[in-house]
Amino acid sequence: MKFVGMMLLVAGMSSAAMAAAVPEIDSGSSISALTLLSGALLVIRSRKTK
Amino acid sequence: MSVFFPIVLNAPYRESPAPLLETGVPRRLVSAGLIPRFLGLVTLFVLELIVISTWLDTSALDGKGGLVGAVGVWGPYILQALLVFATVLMAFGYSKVKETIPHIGDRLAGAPFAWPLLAAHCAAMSAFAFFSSPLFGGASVASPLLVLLWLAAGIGGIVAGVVFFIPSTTLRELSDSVGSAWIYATAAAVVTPLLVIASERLWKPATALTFEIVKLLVGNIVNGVVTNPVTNTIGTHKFRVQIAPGCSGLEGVGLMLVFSVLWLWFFRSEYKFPRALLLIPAGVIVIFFLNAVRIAALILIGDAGARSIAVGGFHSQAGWIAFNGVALGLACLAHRVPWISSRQAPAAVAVVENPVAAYLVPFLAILAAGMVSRAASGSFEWLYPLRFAAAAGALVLFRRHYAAMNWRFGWVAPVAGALVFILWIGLDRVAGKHAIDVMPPALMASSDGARTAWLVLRTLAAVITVPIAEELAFRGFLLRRLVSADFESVSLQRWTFVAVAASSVAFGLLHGDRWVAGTIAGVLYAGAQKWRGRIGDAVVAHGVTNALIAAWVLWGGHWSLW
Repeated sequence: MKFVGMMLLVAGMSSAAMAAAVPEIDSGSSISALTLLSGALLVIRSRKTK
Repeated sequence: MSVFFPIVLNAPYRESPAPLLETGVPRRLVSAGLIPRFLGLVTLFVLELIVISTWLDTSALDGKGGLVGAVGVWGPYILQALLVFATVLMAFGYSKVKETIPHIGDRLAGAPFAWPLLAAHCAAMSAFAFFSSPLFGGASVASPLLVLLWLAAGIGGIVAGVVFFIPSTTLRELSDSVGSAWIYATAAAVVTPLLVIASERLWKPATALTFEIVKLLVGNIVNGVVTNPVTNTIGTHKFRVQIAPGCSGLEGVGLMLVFSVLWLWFFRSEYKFPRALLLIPAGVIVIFFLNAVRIAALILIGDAGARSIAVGGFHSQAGWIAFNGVALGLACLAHRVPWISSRQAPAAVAVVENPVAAYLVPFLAILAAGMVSRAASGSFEWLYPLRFAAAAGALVLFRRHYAAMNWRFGWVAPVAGALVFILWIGLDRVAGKHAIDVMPPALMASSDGARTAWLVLRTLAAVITVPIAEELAFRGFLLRRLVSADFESVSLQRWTFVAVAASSVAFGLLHGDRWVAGTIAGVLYAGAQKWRGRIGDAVVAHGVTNALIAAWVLWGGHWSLW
């Protein structure tokens, strides 16, 4: 849940920062890009040793 | 955040079995718990915000003095601050109030809505719209009084809307419980607009620095670099670009700053401080440098003759690829380097297991392949089959895990799939998207063999790999993960309101401007899965939808659906 909160903040901040479309970071791809990042981080943090 | 608190849909209503009020209206329609009320509030405000931001443009107030001009200058920053405040308050406040939420929810479930407040909200927003017309329409009557009335109507509308969904006594109780989250939210709301304003002052020097780095990089690879420092134009005799302020690298720096600070804050118990703080400047420097590399690569791609790829897909995707790469690298580094991480190193012989990977990796492979294929594309995504190959590879990798799942399906699956198909094309018709139904010119102009191969692989991806990967991720993992952290112990027949709503909305949002159809599709696929508790039903339903869409595209010529 902590992870979800963090990614929500990143998404919220990035959407606020990208209020105007700028060439460096394409706002049209933000959802799929942040989903990819969140998912990859989730997979990395879900590794368990036993 | 409170929206993630699960509520069982079929849980008995608190005051059951009294289903009707004296008016004959079912009580469920006039009262609700905290989560539905919160979701209702967010939905109402998001819809209104979309309408307002589409309709009103504060640039219409540029150049006007006094209070009117102040609205034009500060309005976007105030809106930005409010959004940041709400996001930070929810993210930090949830952990403090999660114990209180069930009690508040129980109490609110029996409390009827105060409908006069909704009427007050509608009246205030109507007044807001009424005053907006002359204010933003450039009329000469835009006086300070008009601005004050406009502001009062807007603030009144917000207050009435909030109090309609969440009564003032509950608001007070929640605000008392969130503790220091108020301080973080207020600080973030004040600092964010100031940082945005400050970053605009940094655009010029940042652009000059990026220009010099790009000149160095390109100059080491090709001869005859053409530069104009006055206009920040750089390139070769064949292809050159102008580095605009927005390309200076500060967007990536801002995002990396937010990501690295939040990462270290949320997982602070896992790192050694102050040395872990070095990750912040390291991430910022790397992302700034990679932006210069991106521009240099763009010039080289254009110089090599692939102009449409340089200014098309590469231009829009390379920034995200760099950001995701650096953010992931930073997280891995922080996780694994003992000098930074305070975690106990696992024993050398430890067995590693990752139940999440089998559910998410195929879907993530599609997203990653999609970014790469779009980055290498011009006007048409020739490398789309890369998505098929990436997903197929991931599915083969985790095949042993899938062998234990129930892939059988019944009659409900194709029926649900067909229903989604009808809904999908119906909503497209309503939105008028069918008006641009022509085969992409690049595909039409290609040879028969290339066109057939692309269409076959595109269809296979739509019908096989995409349904399996997306259903594993959204119905198999996310829906159950929103019910319990131990998601594998949750039955596929278990539904909660928040889990179905959140997983379906997330699924819908990934379908871009078809998010409404995507969200409803998510609910129907979840229903197919719930029917017999089999992932196979959801996958087949999804596959049937995509197969019908593929047939509609290939035989009906409705190319806008692809």
